[in-house]
Amino acid sequence: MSRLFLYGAVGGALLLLLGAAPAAAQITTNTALPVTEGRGIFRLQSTVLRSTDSGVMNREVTVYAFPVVGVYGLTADLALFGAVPVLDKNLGATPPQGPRSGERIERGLTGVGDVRLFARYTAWARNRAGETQRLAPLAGLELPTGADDATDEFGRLPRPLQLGSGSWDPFAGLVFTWQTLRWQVDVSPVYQINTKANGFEFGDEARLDVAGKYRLLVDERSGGVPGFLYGNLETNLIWQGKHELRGVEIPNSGGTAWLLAPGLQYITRTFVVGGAVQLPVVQDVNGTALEQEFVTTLSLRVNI
Amino acid sequence: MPCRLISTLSVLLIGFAVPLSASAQSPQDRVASPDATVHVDGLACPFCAYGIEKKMSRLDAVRTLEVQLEEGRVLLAFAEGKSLTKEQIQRAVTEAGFTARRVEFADGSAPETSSP
Repeated sequence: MSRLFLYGAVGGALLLLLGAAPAAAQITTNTALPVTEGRGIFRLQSTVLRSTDSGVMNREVTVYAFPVVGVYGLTADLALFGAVPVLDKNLGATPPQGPRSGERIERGLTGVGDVRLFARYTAWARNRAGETQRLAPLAGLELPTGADDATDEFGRLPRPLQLGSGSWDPFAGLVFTWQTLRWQVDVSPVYQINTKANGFEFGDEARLDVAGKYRLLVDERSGGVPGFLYGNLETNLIWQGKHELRGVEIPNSGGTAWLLAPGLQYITRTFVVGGAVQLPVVQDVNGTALEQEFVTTLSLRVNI
Repeated sequence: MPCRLISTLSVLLIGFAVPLSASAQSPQDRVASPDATVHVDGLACPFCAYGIEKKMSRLDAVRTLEVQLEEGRVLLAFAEGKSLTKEQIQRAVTEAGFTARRVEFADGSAPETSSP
């Protein structure tokens, strides 16, 4: 199984997860809504990504990602975010020739991935009765905390199957939020510069997330502040440049994907639970990469 | 692989349970006769309302409070013999990330200093 094959197969599949917003108030999108000074939010998320093809190798990629996110309001305008992803990456394929011909080969790894730390500052806000508009730049760093030199019986795992990149990767972006009692819109462009580690460099990533949600039901059973049930429709446009190995571009890597994610969210004063299925609308992945089947995301946020 | 996943999921389930139990829906107070009514701008979701609730409830002078989300109001009942100034209330709302558009006191006053 050549490394080029794996770069194409796994790299394409991970395109969606690598840029996943760790602290989105919608399901797949960041928000500029405030975090109370001196208070925090704890978030757990579960994402399953699956890709397959109908080629002779019957390739199959499954990635389970469990980002654990903590948010703290340093001031009413400045919030600090930390995201620790627990990852389980698996690749299965059946080589049609060679010493393992016809045999199902499984490769994969489980553990903590690269930690993301970032800050978000509310640069502008307009508050009205039952309505808020906010604009907040954000910037942060992805730290090389995940293993980037793990091996299995076939030798060292290819870079995209490793849990971490091994590199220090800065990212920056913006998020605009317009929220009323009935609906909310978030728009967030983010760019990440992936740097080189041990001769390998993942392609830079850019994503534009646009999310809307509409209140479907008001739950007044508990008395006091009611719970809101929202219908969500989110869309993610994700681009990744080609990876480079010792300064040479890897053709079967990177590309562009446009996803649509319908979902539901139930929001109370103390917790938010939500789920969405991201479905590919357009995939233009470089070279012989796998086609995306779906990404499912479940998320729980708790006010602390 | 299944063992790895089961272990991972177990840890996460415990992780889910701890914060949920810690922040389980506590009973919400009703304030029939508020000492102060705060009109809050920017408040548009239940999750955000909790921030104001926490900020206000940490003020010594507040005995109970009620957030009326749809109306954009916070009703405050002061502890016996205590009160808050308009500025103290506005500061708490600002630190929660919102704007106190107007503060109305039941007795029509606008105290500049808090009572002991």
